[in-house]
Amino acid sequence: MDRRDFIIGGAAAVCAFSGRSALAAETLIRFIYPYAPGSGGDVLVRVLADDLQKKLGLSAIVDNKPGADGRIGVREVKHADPDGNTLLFTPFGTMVLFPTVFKNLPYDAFADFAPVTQALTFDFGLAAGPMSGAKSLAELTDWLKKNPDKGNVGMPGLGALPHLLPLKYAADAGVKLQAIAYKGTAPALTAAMAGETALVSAPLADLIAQHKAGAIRLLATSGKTRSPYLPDVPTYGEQGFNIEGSGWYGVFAPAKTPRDAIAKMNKALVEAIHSDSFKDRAKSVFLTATGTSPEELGAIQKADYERWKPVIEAAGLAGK
Amino acid sequence: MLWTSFADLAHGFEVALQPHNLLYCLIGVLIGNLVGVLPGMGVLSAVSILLPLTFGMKPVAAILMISGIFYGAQYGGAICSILLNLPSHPPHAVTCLDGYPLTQQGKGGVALGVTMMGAVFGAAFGILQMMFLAPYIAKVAFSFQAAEICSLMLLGLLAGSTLAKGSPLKGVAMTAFGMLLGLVGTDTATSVERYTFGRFELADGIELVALALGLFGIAEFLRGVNNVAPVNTGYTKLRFRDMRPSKAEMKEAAFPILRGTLVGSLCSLIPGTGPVIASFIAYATEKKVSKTPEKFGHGAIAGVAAPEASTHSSIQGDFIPTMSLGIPGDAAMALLLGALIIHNVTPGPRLIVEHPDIFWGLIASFWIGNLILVFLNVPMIGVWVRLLTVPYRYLYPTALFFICIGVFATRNSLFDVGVTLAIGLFGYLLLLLRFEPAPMLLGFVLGPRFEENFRRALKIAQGDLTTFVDRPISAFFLAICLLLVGVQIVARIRKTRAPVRLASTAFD
Repeated sequence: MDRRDFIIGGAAAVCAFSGRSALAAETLIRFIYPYAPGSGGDVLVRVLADDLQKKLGLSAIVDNKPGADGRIGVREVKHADPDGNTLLFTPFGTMVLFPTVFKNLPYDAFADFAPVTQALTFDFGLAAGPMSGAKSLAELTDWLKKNPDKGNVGMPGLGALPHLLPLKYAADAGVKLQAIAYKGTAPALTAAMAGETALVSAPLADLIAQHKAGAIRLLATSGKTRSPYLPDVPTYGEQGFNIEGSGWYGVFAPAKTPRDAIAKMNKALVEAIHSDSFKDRAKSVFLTATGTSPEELGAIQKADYERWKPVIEAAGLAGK
Repeated sequence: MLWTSFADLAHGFEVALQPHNLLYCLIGVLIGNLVGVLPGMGVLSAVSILLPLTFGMKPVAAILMISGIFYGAQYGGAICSILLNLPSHPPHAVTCLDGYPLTQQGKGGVALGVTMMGAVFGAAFGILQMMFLAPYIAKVAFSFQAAEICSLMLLGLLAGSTLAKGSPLKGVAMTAFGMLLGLVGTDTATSVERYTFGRFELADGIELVALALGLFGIAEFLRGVNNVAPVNTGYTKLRFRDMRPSKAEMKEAAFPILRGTLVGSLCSLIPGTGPVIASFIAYATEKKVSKTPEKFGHGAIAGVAAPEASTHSSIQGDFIPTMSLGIPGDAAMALLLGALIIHNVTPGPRLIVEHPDIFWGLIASFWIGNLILVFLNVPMIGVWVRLLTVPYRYLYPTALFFICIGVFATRNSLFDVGVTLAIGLFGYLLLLLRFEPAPMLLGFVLGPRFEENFRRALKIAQGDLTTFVDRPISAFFLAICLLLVGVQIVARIRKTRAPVRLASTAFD
């Protein structure tokens, strides 16, 4: 192996890995996912891209553009060519909660983007670790009243629903609950299992395995109805609390994208989302495939924004 | 208990030796090894690109392949650190400190040989630990909570601020500066952005890869170009026997490898403490216990052996919480879990019981994969060392190019490439002024984790500082901290009384 081999080999390897040929630039659909690879959403947008490729003969890739809690990736789509080939695949937070949570948001969630379709929905869960031994919200309330100094709930990040929902529960139940921020769900979950915190609040999908194994116990889910994956765990509402909120993943395009391009993309995406293979993949990561019209997604975005804005402001988490 | 483990392992080998699975294990470690050697590729990006390919595979094969990429990459990771001072994979940054001086002395092949020994031993220990102790270890991990991690990080910072050769004061200053750099970004507890100057690219902090490559790779490049240090030309005539560690050198490496392995396995127990911290702590420990600490930074064999063994034992250990609790220790493990989920395998505490073929097949494939990697890498040492015979004017610009790609690939961010170049210029300035970059990297890695856990521990304890001494493990670490500082003060007093004595070694 001489020097030339090494250089050629190196170059070939780099090309093979990055694998982003510029040849097909015009027909290339690029999904920007504003977070690092590895989460359920990331896996599913890859499946979606794969489906588009197979079923519709389009070239589609997923670009992870993580940073600043998703703000960098979203900003990139805002500035992308509005030709319908660059799309944002994002969880609802960037489009619904961020306009209230961040003062210096580099985009306008409504004016800079055109909704394409809602792809998936999911619930959040509140679970107790071994510290309290609570089996329901009522038992938890009792325990928290007796142990006000142990009322800690671990959650992955400030101002998001896993933060807001337990705070609302504590306010309504009249107990003291302190939110402890962790870097992601995994350390927050470990903390609850280890007895560092009494509770963990996170997307339901991240808690199901540990709940089924008995390491933690889910006390409440956040949907209107029970989660199809956990029919035995009651919602907040069933336990007498007026707390409800679901999350979703949606596809957005830059605002100036022509209407017919959006309609075309919506048709292709909804077809892929409604396919059995995609629904099965979604089930395997505990998400629910939906697939709405652009107008429906726009309405959901607006309604959710107006719904959470006062809650975030009341919790003192607005405009940081 | 022991016998059932062996029976399970035998079953695991049955699974892993099926031609189909064996093939994917081989592909995984090959890709991993390549990714490790090239400064331009990160493990994470390689896996995320290959993930869709695994959709059509059987779950066991997919997991064996993806895991192979992870540990395979560590085998290649040290090569550029040792030969070119290019730490393209953060756990191997600390290997630069003694690996590169060894190369400059014409012993690059020896350093790589020692690395291989450390790798095999560390990995073997890590796998054994996973085979026999996984369920217990997962429980031990639970006793490391915010207070314990905070005290441990303090110990690491104290022990490590004397990491550098030369002036201890400059070492401490660099550690503190590294901690300040670590503050850049969004504060976990309050979501407030610190030192970001309104740039969203800085909201997640400075990328570790950017800092390591800037401080070591680019600064070294600038030093070479400006002829501050003579360019290494000692490799025009290569003989194979120069590449094998001598018996004396093997002996010198033996205990550091053992200690490094233990440090690595300890670090893998502690949640969120991965191979990067493990390798730094192993190096600092080795220097503290060494009889000849003055050799460190000038090509000490132990300075290569300990961190490398630590990295490998920690990488294998990282699989334990991932597989036995279903909780990923870092981003790479999160991807691995993602791959399991997509194959309808729910990772979690019941995985070992419900899918013994995956757990034990994985362990068996670790043995097979590590064996393949040794056979792959030991004969290649000569080839890698030959890389140094490439004229400087070709080698370094190429390396620089790979640095840029590597930094870009970590977060798909061009901004980070600029950060790396700026840090490189700064690092060159530090080199000229004889400030060592290593303690800065240590402060950068440990400092933020110290702060985060300090504040979390206090918050959970309702602001009660005694939580750090009430908890026995935390108190133990704090006692060692006191001891460490005490020994240095005593040594200082003795030195002023009897200036002839060699007590100053404690400060080196």
